[in-house]
Amino acid sequence: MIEQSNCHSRFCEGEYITVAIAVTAGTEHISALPFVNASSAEQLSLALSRVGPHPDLARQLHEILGDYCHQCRNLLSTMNMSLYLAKRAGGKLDDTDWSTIEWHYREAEQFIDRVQSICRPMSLSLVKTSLQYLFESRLAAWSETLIKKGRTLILQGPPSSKIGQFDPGRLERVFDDLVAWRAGVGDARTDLRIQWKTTTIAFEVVWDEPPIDGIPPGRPEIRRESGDAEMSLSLASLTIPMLSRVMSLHGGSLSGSIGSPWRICLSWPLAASPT
Amino acid sequence: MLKPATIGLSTFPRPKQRFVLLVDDHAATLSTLRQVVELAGHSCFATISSFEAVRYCRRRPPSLVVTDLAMPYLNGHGLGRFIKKRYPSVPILLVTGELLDPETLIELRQTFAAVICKPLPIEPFLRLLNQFMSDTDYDTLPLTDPR
Repeated sequence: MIEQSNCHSRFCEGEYITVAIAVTAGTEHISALPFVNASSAEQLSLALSRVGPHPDLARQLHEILGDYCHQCRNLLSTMNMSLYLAKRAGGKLDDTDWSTIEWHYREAEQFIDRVQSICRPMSLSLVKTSLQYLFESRLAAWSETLIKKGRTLILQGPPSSKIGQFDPGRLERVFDDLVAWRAGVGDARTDLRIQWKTTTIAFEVVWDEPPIDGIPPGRPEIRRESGDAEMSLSLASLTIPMLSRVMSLHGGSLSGSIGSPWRICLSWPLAASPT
Repeated sequence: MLKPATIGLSTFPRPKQRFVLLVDDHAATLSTLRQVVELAGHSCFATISSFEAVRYCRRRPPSLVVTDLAMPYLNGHGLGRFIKKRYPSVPILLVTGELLDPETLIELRQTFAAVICKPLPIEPFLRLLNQFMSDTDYDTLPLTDPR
């Protein structure tokens, strides 16, 4: 069990914002992560989330991670070539085994890319648009992802939305990852719910997983089979720090719990400023 | 730091034989890269030292150079500029684990025939390798350094 909490407070555009990440997570259910174990993935996720709201820290960490990931890429490169040589040498494995090995290799590669991308210098492409449009345009795809796991997506918002200024592309990508992550690790006896609204100054979005009526929530099930094409769990665990970074760039905040019950609260100004 | 040395030479290029010069300070990467290149049917000379690569070029210019970017003392860009200046007909491939911004990439492309990111994508790399090794007209290359 990991129990950690972290609070950052800062002033942003005249608004007092508290960024609080509270983690209370049972880790035993995801101890079979193929690339990194649950504990290290969550701790890395937590540590990187702390950096998100602080551009200077993010910059410093980006440099450190740059050197570290360079070494990782050398190792990966060696591994990739070794796999190729082993395959050419007629290693006694069938095609499925090779596919599994290659899947794990890709997972490691993507994990390193993701770690590095969290702290990479980032700028927003701000567009005047509505949050409603973003959610409705992704609703079908997200629902499909969850239905495969026997779960339902519930979208609760106002009938119409104020127009605001934000980066819809970046938000869409990180929300896609969020849905993929929860589809992989979320409790099958819960739905995934998105509640959103606009106030006079901000967008507010809450993601949570309410229990399905009559079915008590319990221990989440891991349903990913090795070698399938879904987002890996170790990769998915880095969704929160990326979301934290994106929120920070929008001058907003992220708070919630990534344990049980899982709940993420997002808030950012209606008119984000260019960064 | 690794001691500069030539490692793992299994097939020293014969006189007049086309060969690839491989340069990477990461010994394990270099060793496997050499095996990949040899398996593709090309002779090579592999070294973890860019200075040794320069010395070898002076003795006998290669048909193709594949070099890492981040190396101590003389990095891949410096090595690439030296080779391009002395042996302009020798194509040079850069293989790097660095994340390159667009400006740096544009600059590097003035020196290198191709810039490839690590982890090395094997099939595209082999296509480039075979293409450059068949394109290079060995007879136009000097057998020794003109100086």
